[in-house]
Amino acid sequence: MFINASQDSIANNPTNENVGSYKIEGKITVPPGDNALENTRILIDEGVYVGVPQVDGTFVICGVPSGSYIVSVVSPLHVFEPVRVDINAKGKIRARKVNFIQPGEVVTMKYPLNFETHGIPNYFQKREVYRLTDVIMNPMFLTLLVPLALLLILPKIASQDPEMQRDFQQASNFLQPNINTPEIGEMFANIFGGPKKQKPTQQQIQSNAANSGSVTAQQKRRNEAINKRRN
Amino acid sequence: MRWRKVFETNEYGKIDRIIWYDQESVIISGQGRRARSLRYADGLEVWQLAATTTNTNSNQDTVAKHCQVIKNRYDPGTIHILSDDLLWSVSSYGEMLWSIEIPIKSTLKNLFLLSTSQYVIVGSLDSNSNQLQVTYYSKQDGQQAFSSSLPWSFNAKDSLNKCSTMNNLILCSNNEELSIITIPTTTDDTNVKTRHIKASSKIEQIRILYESTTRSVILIKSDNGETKIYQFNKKESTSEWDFNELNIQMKSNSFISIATDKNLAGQQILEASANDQKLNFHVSTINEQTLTNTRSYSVELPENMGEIEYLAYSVVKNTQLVTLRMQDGSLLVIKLADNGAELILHRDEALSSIISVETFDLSLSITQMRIEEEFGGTGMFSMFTKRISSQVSQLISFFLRLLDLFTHGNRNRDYLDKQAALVRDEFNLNKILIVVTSVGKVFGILTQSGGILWKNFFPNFAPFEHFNAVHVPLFHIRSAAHYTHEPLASIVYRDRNSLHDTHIRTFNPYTGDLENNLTTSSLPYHVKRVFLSTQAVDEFCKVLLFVDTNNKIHTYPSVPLSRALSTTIPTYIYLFDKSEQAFVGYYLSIDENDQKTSTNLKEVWRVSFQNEEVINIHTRLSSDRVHSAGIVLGDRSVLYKYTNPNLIAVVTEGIDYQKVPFVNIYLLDTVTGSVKLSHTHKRVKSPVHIVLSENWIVYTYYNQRYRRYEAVSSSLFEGEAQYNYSTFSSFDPIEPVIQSKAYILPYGVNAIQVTTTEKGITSRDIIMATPNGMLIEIPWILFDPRRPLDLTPMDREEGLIMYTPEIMVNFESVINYYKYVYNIRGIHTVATGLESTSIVFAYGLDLFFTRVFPSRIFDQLKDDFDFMIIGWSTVAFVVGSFVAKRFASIHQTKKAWK
Repeated sequence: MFINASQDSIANNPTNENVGSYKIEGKITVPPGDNALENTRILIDEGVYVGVPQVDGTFVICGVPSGSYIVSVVSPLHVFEPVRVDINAKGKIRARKVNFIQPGEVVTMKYPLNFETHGIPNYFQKREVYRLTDVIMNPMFLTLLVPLALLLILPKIASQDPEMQRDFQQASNFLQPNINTPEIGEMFANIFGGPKKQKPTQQQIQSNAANSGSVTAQQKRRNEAINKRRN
Repeated sequence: MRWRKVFETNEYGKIDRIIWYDQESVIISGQGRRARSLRYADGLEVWQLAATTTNTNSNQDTVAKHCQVIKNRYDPGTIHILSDDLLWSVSSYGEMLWSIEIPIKSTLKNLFLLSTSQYVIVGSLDSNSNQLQVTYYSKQDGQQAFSSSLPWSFNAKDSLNKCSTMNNLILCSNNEELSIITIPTTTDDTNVKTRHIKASSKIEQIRILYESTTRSVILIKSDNGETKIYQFNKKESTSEWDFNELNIQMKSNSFISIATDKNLAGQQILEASANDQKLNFHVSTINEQTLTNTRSYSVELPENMGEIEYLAYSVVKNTQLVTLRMQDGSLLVIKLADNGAELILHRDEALSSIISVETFDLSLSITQMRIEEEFGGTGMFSMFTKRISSQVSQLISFFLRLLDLFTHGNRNRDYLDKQAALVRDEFNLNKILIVVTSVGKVFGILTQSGGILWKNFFPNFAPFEHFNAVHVPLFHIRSAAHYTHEPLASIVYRDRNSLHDTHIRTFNPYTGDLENNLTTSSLPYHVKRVFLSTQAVDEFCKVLLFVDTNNKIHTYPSVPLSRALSTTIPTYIYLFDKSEQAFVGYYLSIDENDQKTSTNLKEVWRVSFQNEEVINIHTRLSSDRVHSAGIVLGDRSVLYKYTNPNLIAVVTEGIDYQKVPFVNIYLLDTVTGSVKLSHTHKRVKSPVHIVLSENWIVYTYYNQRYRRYEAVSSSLFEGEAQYNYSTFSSFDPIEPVIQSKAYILPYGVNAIQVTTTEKGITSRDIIMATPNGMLIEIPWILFDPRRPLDLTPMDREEGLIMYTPEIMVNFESVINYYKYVYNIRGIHTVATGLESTSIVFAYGLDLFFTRVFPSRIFDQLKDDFDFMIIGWSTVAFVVGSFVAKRFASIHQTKKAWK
């Protein structure tokens, strides 16, 4: 007979075990003006008992036997922190913080329970917006910027300082590439520039103009030298 | 709908009775143990009370708890509740008036509750002496006033089924006789009077249609279909009643309801009957003995809904309203007016009781079909002509569409949209959900809108039992891939009246039209298990295979087994023997030339469980795909997964020798019968929810010792080397290496499922439905059993996260946002044409459908992708470069002229 009874209790028969005589009371505080209470439910142990709040936010769940329960208030519009409520066999009620990792730890809280909203749950991730600063601060962009700066500034400095110019001249003479190798710029100019502009002197100039981005500083200087000579 | 409150799913939330008042209603739930009052205006609670009991160790035997709730007719603000041995009274203002416990005796069963202006009367049956003990309690304070007893000829069960109470009368049917027992209401008069009404044949049912302090109407239904209605009138200044029969002609299947209104002179009686797709009503006014002013109405129903299950007739502000619940779970509200009856509300409440779900791809559009045909030819020349002709036709149809767009504009957009809804979209995102509900109604639901495409009701439907749940097998007989043939789906169910009869219904999932060739009402054998053939037989159709109670296998429709099942791969079947708690594996030998359509099974293994009960099994999804055979570790070596497709998870429950409850989880190979994994959890409570996929299992349970929900994740690995890289066989001598970790869940679990994608490349997410109404999407990486306790650089290289016992869930992973869904029982996931996307359909009391992207959207553009900016900036760059070129050349020329 005894074994039968214990088996019944394990088989989660709520009519015998779960109906007790104690009640859990509390109050839900939501900002005034929103009717969030209508969609708010009070769950004890994830729905073993379900409570409905009253107009002023208070709630009562009756018929709870002694034991330890997690009381959570659920609302789609507000976040509430769950509370563990212990009812001992004599009916004394204690509320404490929920700690799943150390269930024995006791950090007592106020009873009757008071649930205050911890803000609105954030269900959404912020959408990424296109911002110019993101592009500029991009490391790829910065690595591009340095050669560009060199490309623009170096010839300017070189043209102002005659000594440096001489140095460059020497260096360029030294590093003079093979004239016979075809230049990319020329090739493009031949393709895009069309056969109309057949002047051989102009050809080089045009090629530089059209493809200034891809021309190295060296070539540019060489062209300048050519132009100067012509003048 | 204004508001809705969802109570507990356990017995405690079951509503026993609702008593309606003007502003609020009192709901008695939990077998008469709790009373709560809810306001009509916003559904908020006004008060709540629970009965207090001191004896919780009551000697409950097999007789179910019995609860009776009555509103005192003489004092409408008082409610009396009898819950087994507890009698209590509450007022409608939320005041507990009194509560007493009736002394318990094992032979005494409290059955009847009656009330008068002064007393609350409990009739209890003493099974020893076969006497009904009638005890009077004071209405004011519950004090026992006096008691009497009278002879009683029914036993407890019969008394509950065959008797009803009404005012101070107990009405009991005894075969062809109705006994009316008058219980005296005052202490002076102790005479119990019994009178009888004779019926023509055995009385089936007594229903009280109307009850007031002076007048009552009852209905007596006999098993030959005869229905009689009696009217009771109270005699002046006595507790006795006169009765007379009302002469009303009724059909055998009709329902009766009575309404009163202050404005009406008497009561109005409504007779309703369902006839195919038509509801017929007859409304009359009750005069002394006859009915007058009979009016008839009829309403054409939009579909077949079966018989009436519940009927209520009410007159609200001179509007006659009829509320019906039909056999198929539909809720109907019909307004009766002078110009006829009108259906003003129809809700398919059956959708809250879904038990099986399948998804079907939509059919290909005509152009998609042409593309399929384009590559269909065989010879070189025919292939060439086919391609040319189909491309020409595509071009023509494109021009026709353009022409149509210019000439008609938006005029037939609606029609086109409707057509487009049934045609597969580019990425196969939209599908048709076929859901089977426990009442026997099958729905076809379009996923993009949630609209119901069609519904079919099978009146004699009863689901199969599957461990502790109900189950209806639903199969893809022919998939949508064969565009020349329409797809087919089959359901298999039992007959409601004779549970051994099995019905098969095959239908087109797009229209719900039954395919009569593949529909049968009864099979000549008792079915134990049903599954689908591995090979298509005729016209791309698969056949159903049945295992009967004699362990013989049959095919439906009858085809040779050698055609239905592969003859090269051996077939193993497992069955569960409930009486022995054993899984039994069978081998099915098929000869290639054999033309037999049924054969016996040969037992090859048996796994039996002692001292533990199998409570559930879980199989992997049939759509489960494993993309990679192993995991690349941090040191560039490979850890091979043990991906055994034949594994099932078995959950057992029991109590060990120390009286500690435990739950065991096994992974059972259904081909060899070997157990690959076994876990024991002590002091753990079911339900255990399982996800089994690839080489891993995740399951959740409630830990009673630490009072928290936990999840255990285990992975099976072959090790550093793979035994056979091309195919897997259960007979290979592989001992899988198991790694496990347990995690703490922040919420409880109602259902879990894993996302499914087409090729299985996308990482997996676990979808979890929680009791608080959220659907949470958690990456499986968080459940990974290989999460290390301390993170080494090698683990970091591999992308593992350090182990933390708690699984943190933030609100960003809630996929149903503000739309909370309650009491979810299952989640269905399906792959789409896009590898990144998985479809999620959660069902239970509420339904929820969405798409999830476990690895983010990696194969499609974001929905805010701006095509205009990209287009215009490209144009601007081209134009700009030409302009710049022109300017540069001018500049250079000028420079040259200097």
